[in-house]
Amino acid sequence: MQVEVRVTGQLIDYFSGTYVNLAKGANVAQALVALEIPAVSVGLVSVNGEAVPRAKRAQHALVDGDQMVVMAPLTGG
Amino acid sequence: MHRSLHIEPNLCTGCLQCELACSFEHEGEFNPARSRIRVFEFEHGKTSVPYTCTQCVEAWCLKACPTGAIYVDSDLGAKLVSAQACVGCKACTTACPFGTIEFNPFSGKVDKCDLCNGDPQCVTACPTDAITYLDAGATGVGRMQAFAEQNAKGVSS
Amino acid sequence: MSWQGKVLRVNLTRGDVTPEPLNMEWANDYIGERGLGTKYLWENMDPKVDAMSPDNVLIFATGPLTGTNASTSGRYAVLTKGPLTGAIACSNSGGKFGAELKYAGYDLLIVEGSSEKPVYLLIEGDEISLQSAEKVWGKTVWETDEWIKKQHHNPMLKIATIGVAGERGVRYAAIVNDLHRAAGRSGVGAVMGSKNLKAVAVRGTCGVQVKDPKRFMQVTNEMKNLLAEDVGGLTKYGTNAMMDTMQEFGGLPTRNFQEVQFSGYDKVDARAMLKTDETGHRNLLTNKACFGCTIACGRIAHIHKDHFTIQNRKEYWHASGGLEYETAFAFGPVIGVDDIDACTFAGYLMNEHGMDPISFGVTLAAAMELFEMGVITTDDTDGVPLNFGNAEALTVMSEKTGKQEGFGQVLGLGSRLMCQKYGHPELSMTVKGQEFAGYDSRALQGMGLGYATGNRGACHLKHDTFEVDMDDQSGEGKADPCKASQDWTAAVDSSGLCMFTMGAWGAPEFAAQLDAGCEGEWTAERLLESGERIWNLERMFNLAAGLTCADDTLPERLLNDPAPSGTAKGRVNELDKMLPEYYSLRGWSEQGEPTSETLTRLGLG
Repeated sequence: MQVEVRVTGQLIDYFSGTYVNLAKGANVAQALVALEIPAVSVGLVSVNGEAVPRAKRAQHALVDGDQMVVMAPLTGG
Repeated sequence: MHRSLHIEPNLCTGCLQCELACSFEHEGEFNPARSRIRVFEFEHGKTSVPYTCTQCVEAWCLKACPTGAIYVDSDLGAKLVSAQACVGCKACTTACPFGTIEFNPFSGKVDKCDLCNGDPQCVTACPTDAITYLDAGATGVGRMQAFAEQNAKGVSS
Repeated sequence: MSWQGKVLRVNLTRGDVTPEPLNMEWANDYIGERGLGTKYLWENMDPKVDAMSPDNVLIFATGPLTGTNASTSGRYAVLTKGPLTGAIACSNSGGKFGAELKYAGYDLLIVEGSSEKPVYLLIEGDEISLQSAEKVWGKTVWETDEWIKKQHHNPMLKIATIGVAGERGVRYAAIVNDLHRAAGRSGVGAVMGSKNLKAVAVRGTCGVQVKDPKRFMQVTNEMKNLLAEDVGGLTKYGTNAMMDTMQEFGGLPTRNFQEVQFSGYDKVDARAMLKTDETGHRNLLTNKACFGCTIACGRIAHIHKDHFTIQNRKEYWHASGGLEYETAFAFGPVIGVDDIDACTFAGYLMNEHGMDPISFGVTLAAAMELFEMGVITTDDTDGVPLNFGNAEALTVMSEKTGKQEGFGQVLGLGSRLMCQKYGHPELSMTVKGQEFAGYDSRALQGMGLGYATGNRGACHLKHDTFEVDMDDQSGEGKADPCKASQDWTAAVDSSGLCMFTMGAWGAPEFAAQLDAGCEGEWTAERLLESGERIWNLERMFNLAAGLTCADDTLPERLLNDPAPSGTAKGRVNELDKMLPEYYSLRGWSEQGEPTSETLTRLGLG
């Protein structure tokens, strides 16, 4: 299945594409692995505008056409 | 192999870690005013340029010195100052067109870059490789390579 | 060791300067910079005095590690009572000025009284004097910096100065050092202006020594390596890398906090700064470091020569400080503007005239809302339509406010007084009179608590709940991380190092550097305890100044109007739930006052 992907901040250095192909039923944690973005470098993932807490990444299953945003952490300044 | 300090201003962020390292190495304290390398900023920091002694082969400072206090370390190619022989006349500071040999009012002698016995501390301290210690006969290679790369891409800058 | 052991007391009323020994007992309990400056402020003034009166005290404070080779060792703080807030002001800055003050031999500079005529303080080694500033009073920051260096034939001077904004009492006037770094918030520049002190110019030639030189070098090198692995996007993109994150998250305050997302964000974010346009122009030129810093998050930019702002103004064609996150937020989303050149130009003007971009932008946003409501018209605003999105309004008003002309005199009051003046206090997006930074409290709940309880008013830098706020958009469990990070940040702000190392370094890493450099034994526990002490002393200052728990609040808009979009859509800030838990965790009464138990425990009783 195909999931649309946007990344923010410095994560553009990890992934600069617009979508990722994943196995059916893949979850958010697995998507990050496919994108080669280290989980610790991610501030928050949202799917279709809804935040997915860190602890739920491995449970949140994605479906074809989902819009995933992978956000960099915030640092202040 | 003779090495010399190579400075690439494009990589310099003006952090002054080189000045801190130099003063610490030579004076045992953090004191940029006593550093032998200095960083100059232009246009609100658009360009930062570290500058220090280029270890002239025919050194003005050496020739100007009336007591022979400036001598050559032939292994390093460095021009060094003998504190014993130096009388603080400052003739060398007038002679050097680059201003990189400086009078030290506290010691009464002159200070200059001595390449830290072959392990320049400014090089170690620089976080961006704006200062490197390279084969003295090949300091231009990095730039040539960069332009060659541009040509290879078919882009001229 | 690390501390120089000396303080310079300057009495502007009498016109004399007196070095005195540093109180080492206080240094041991309060470290330096923010903490030590707060203690000196507490002991040297009555918090009830008017911030613009000669009885206010102005302190420039370095930390023990300022001027060493620890990475980011250029920090110093300016402390005083803030004219914007009536509360304690502690404004942090980088650049080179702070280190130079250490090299001149001083840990702190204390300025008291006020001068009859404008002066500047000149420190050249052990030669210290108050010089007439009559030739530079009325000049910009940049003109003053150049003039003083020429006047004394000393290009090595590092200068902290105010512009006309500070001279004329703009409530959020800043002190700018090294041309484009600033002690920006709370109006510390106005205090300097009220004292007729135009600038402090320093050249120092004595060194900073450390307790254990060999160990210090080892430790600082280790720490630099750690830091290099963890700078995130700071080096490459600067802090403005956060703008698209804030947009996607839905916490980007837009049009005076009416919304939390801005469609024009990608015209003013970090990527926009890196885009090359059809003419070959790119906003960002390079990055720049403050003294001793191996991160180099500073931006150097330039404005397009054909842009309406500088088309015929050659004097602005040079490079200068570029957009950081806060400047971009304040000149972009919060006023609805998406013109990167206009935003960059306004940023130039902030540095040139010495003003806080955050407070200016959010004040302008309030003025724009008043304008769109019809409360003020072009008759009030010198003919300039203050509609959201009007880039020309931004740049014209930035200049007018910097020079204190026309409507700029109203904007210079700050949004609290301005909105009161026009009968709409609810439009001032402030806490304790200080404007919010670019994080909406409905989306970032712990941030809201930090804003509400911050000792200098709305400030995004005195706590760090970003991680928990991003992961959980509710107010649950935010009180503890807010309190803990407030204490920890207070310690960091007292060390002389920059808080942008906090991603890579925790208390043990800071302690290791302090312990190798400073006399005494420095542990992580000691740092955290000092931080809590510092926080409480700031609180005591504010209580003595007349602030109460009623001031620990947020504007109606953030408590009542739900976020209209984003991951926190529908939420308001849950301050009413977080605040009682916060007070309790702090060991304060329900009225937000430290109990005698707490004060005794911290050595403040």
